[in-house]
Amino acid sequence: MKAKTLLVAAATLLATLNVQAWGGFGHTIVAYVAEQHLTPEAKAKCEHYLGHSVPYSASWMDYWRSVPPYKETTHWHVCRADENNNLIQEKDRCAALQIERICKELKNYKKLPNEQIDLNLKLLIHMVGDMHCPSHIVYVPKIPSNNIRVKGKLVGRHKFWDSSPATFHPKWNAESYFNHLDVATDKQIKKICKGTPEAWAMEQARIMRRTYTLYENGAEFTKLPREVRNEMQQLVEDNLLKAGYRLAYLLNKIFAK
Amino acid sequence: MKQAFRYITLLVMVVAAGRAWAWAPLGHETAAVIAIQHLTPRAKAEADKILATNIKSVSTWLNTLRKGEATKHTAAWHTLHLNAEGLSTTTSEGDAVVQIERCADILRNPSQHSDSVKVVALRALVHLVADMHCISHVRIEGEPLTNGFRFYFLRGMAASKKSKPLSAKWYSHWQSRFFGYHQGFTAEMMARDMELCCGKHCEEYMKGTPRDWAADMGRVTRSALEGMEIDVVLNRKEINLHEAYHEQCLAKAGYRLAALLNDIFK
Repeated sequence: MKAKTLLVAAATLLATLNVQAWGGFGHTIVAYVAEQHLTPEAKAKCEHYLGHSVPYSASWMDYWRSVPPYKETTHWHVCRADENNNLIQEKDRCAALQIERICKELKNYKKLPNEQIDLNLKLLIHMVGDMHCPSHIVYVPKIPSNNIRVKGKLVGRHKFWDSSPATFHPKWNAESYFNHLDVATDKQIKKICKGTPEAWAMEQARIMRRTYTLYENGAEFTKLPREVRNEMQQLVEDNLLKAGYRLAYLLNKIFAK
Repeated sequence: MKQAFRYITLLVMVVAAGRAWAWAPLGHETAAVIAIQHLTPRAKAEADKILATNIKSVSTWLNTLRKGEATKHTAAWHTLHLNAEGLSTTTSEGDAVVQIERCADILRNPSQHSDSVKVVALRALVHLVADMHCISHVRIEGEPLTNGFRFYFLRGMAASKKSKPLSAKWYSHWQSRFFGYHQGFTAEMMARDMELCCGKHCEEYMKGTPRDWAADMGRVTRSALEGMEIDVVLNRKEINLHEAYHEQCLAKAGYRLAALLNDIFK
């Protein structure tokens, strides 16, 4: 009886953790990287409208997606791509298209009420992170999920990639990620930020397709060849940085003098 | 002598810190980082000299004593006891404010105490000022819910009709839930955000004495308990709206710790 109670308690605790897209940790990293690349003007504007820092607002969209009037945003966490990696043009079901809509709206932010700027920023910060998460590109037709085992326990594909920043560096925080990995030159960052959110999403659709072939369904993560695990880690680290740079690029552009 | 012996016993009875749940470690560290930013240079120098480190690095130390055989009586120090009017009037040793006053008294009279006693007093004070600002550490006479209760909330991340309410405890709700909303944050990052959202109230929050702050926490706790009952089912919005209380309490803890140390070491 006692064991059963403990099991239920443990399951309840686990259920409350790591349930977000990219995981809350991934979103904090993306937003923290972005914050370090914001112009002083953009940073001040973001903090003015958010009442908080950019990283603090990074997971807001996950916690409010089930609350009216934000329920419609629940479909904005993913991008859908066809077999040619083109985006399926459904505005209400695509993070990249929503990002473009929001950027357009924020272009004239001075004419918007503060609450709308605040909401748009929170959505933008989160969605730029989400569209760079391997599990947030949905392919049509659907590709069967390749779930994975971590130390014997079966973890869904989605959950595995969402929580991957902590899997690869369990002792790091957002600052450690930034300090260890942010080594791109200005020229490289400029190249990464070239294009539009739609183009970034299509690039992601091309890259993420590979994650379905990296390992067999049900494979044990710890027993994967070192080069496969390295490739997975590289992909996660690259995408966290890319997302951060691109988020900063968008915010700097919106709040340019 | 007896008192000195008692505090020295505490000092040597440091047991390995397990995972401490009395306000998540990040909460204690955040309060300390906020305080450091508002200490006078003199107070900061005095505190660092006594501790031979900064107040952030000792902010969770008191939690390590809770399980030690000779120090388990300190577990009662982490709780704030208020009377039915929501005021702190107790003189019982098992109370956060009484212990804060005791520690402050030791630090105000440094020549009467050994270095070890002052170290323990400062470590305890740093921790308890934060603890008294954690809603789940507040007990109000005649308010049975402040002894803790279970409630449920709708997980609803995907707004699925299938999602079943999850069981939660009032205690852990205030200890750790809202830090989980900001995974990967350091204490410095969290402190900066508390400044951003509550900095304008800094001066107002720093006013008063620990007994005044206790009464304030009584009001905050009563407000947070509005509409609560055992086994109540909360929706995601109701849960999320609690974060504003959490932020306010965290900021108050940091500002007031600075105010108290500035006063002690003036």
